[in-house]
Amino acid sequence: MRKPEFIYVSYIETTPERLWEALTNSAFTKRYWFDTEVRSDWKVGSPFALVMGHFRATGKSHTSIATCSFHLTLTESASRLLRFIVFAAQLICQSIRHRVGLHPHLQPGRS
Amino acid sequence: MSKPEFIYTTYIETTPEKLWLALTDGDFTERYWFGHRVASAWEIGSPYKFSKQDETTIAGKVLAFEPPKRLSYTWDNQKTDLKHERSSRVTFDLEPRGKVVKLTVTHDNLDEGGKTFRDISGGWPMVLASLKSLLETGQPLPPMSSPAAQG
Repeated sequence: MRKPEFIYVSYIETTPERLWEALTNSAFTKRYWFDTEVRSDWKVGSPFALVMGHFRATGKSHTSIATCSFHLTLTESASRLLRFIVFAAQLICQSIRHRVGLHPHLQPGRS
Repeated sequence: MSKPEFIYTTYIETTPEKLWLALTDGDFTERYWFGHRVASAWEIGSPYKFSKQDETTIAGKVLAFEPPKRLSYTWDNQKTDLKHERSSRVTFDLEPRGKVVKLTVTHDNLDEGGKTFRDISGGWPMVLASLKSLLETGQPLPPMSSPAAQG
């Protein structure tokens, strides 16, 4: 039986260099990835982590910071890395929805 | 075995009404759909077609018309080499998410191993990326070169 995989194709009016920067620079990812930072020294075999800070985990009186990380071993294949990042984004979005609801930017009726 | 289907979801910063217009107005589709104009009376059962430079490229009939939530039509590519393939179906579902609209395009009833499935799998990402660009920036994507043309 085949393993499930998720493939998503998009076309963006930009240069490969700027897109590469957007995928690997944590200040950049924080802006579009709903506060998620990528952290790595981007060497093949190095650890790689996605870090979300400042998410209030529940509506309880005390606020806790939920941080989650994903690790993988970098492969030399950029497309595989990109696929993994998109896949990880899906997981993160799912876990956020379950734990703390939709991100404010995506909540109906919020301006 | 399940029939092949193609599902693509994207989030666009626009209103359901503007997105609806973008899907159903020929002047609009011509800008982001690489020159293809859509035309129809947009009543359930009525015909619709896409044409480029007065040549019909896609035709079919309207299956669902529920502005600004759901649009569905049959899909018959008019290319002679695709004429033998079954009539497939395209459905657009629009869901408001605050200032963003979630757009899901489902293309099903496709022939297994058919050329239409291959063509639309490559085509929808281009069309929908251009649609998103047009609605968010006022400009569709510029013309693209084929991969073979890249250095």
